[in-house]
This record gives sequence, structure tokens and C-alpha cells, in this order.
Amino acid sequence: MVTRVKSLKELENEIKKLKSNTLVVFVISGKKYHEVNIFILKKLIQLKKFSGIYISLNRPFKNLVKYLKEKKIDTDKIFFIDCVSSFFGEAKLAENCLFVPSPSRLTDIGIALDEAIRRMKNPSNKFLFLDSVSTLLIYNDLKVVAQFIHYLATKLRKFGVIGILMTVEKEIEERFLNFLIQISDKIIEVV
Amino acid sequence: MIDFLFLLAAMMLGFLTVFFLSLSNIKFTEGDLRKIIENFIYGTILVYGFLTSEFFFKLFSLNALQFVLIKYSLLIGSFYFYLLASYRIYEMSKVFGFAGKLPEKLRKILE
Repeated sequence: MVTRVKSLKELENEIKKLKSNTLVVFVISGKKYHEVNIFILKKLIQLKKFSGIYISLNRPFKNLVKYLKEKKIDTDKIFFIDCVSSFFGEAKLAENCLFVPSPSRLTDIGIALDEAIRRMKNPSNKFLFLDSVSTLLIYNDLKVVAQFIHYLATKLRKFGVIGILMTVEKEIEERFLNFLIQISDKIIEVV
Repeated sequence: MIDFLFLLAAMMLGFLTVFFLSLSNIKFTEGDLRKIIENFIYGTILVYGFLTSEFFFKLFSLNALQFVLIKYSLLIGSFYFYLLASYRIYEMSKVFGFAGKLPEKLRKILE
């Protein structure tokens, strides 16, 4: 199901309707990407009182935390998986961040997610925020990303966690978008 | 005779182990798991070498010191690679293992 939203108010209504055990793909126009990204995260934490995992493929942990704090988002509710900061280094676990050496190390990300989700006590009020599918496609083959997203979807459904997959409009080809439509419960297009 | 049968069976199992490990390794993205599998492959190849040498040394009754050295070097080599793999798993468990004690902040988020 593809829903088109044109304003943040409409987007808020869509977020309010989100139930646990759903996988939602947000297709966002490039110009609005950051604004919408922050808006969704804010609503998940403040409106729905969720906590969760944020996989960052675009911004390093420190920079992202600073940015989120500026936008008044409680970063203590988020476990970050940072695939940008320690390029070519070793994987490391800090206070609330796991540093993965590269966005192409999907096996490592998969293992970390599996462990984190299994450790969750109440998965129905948790989310997984992937920022973004478009960046994953820069570092990995389309087929590999599709397999990874499929693995994620199965895992999230099994444990009842809300999955939020962000992607930039026009950066993914139609074939991949069709795949996302197949595996997700909802596609929200923000124009 | 029974020795040879057991050795052949072990060699076959060793071959299958390397076969499945190699097949799975090419499917994983680069990272620690891949390195662990590589170590297991090398270790198992050396075990395979140990078994093969044992098989032929027995078959031709070769008991000289150099044959014993070859045989046990292969065995020690294999355990060296198993040790490397185990150490990598141990290191990996410190980063990716969430069942043990977690940093307080992370524990609160997940629980």
C-alpha cells in the first residue's frame, strides 16, 4: 500500500497510526530528507514513547547525537549502529553505540541487530530506524541489500519491532521499490 | 584394517567440512565472521593433511622421525588456526554479544 503525504501534519497522523510489528518504508524527496527524518524520529520517541535502534549510514555518531540534541530529541532512548565513523577500523561497542567499520559489512550489522532484538524486553514499543536504504545501495549490490532487508523484515516481524526504512526518492530504481512494496506493510511517500 | 576405515571416514568428513565452510564463506560480506570461517577452513585442511599423512604412513609403514614430525606439525598447525578462530569469536562476542553485561545506557534502551 502506497500512501502519499504532503504535509508534516499528515505525516504525524500516519505515525500515530503505526502499530507494532509493522514495517514501513518512507520514500522522501531529497530536499525534505533531513527535516522528515528528524520529524519521524521525534514523533516515535516523544509521541509514541518508543525507544530503539538507529542504523546510521550517513552521519557519524558524534555528529548525529549533536544534531539530534539540537533538535531536542532524547538520544538516551536510542542505540546507534554507526557504520560511518570507524571506516576500515575494528568493530567497537561504546556506551550506546556500536561502531561497524563499513556499510558493506552487512553480516556484522545483522549479527548486532539479532543480538540487540533478542535482548529487548518489550519489543512492541521498540523501533528500528534504517537511515538509509539508498546509502546501503551505494556500498552493496542490489541483490545483497534486498537479501539483507528481507532478513531484517523477517526478524522484525518475528519479534514485533516496528521497522522504519528511510530512502530518498529517485535514488532507488523501480525494481527495488517494487521489492520494498512487496515486503513492507506500508510505503509512505513524502512529497 | 579398521584403522584405515576410520581414517577414510574422518578424511571424508574433513573434506565435507571444508566444502561447506568454503561455500558459506563466499556468501558472507567481509568482516569478522568471514575471517573466522577462513581460520576454520585452514585448520580443517591441516587436519585433513594430518589424516592423509597418517593414512599413507601407516599404509607404507613409515615410522621414521621425519614422518612423525610432518604428521604432528600438521596437527599443531591445525590447532593454531582453530585457536585463532576461537580468539576471533571471543573478541567478536565482546562487541556483538548482548546476552552478557551491557553498558548501562544500552541496557536501559533495550530493556
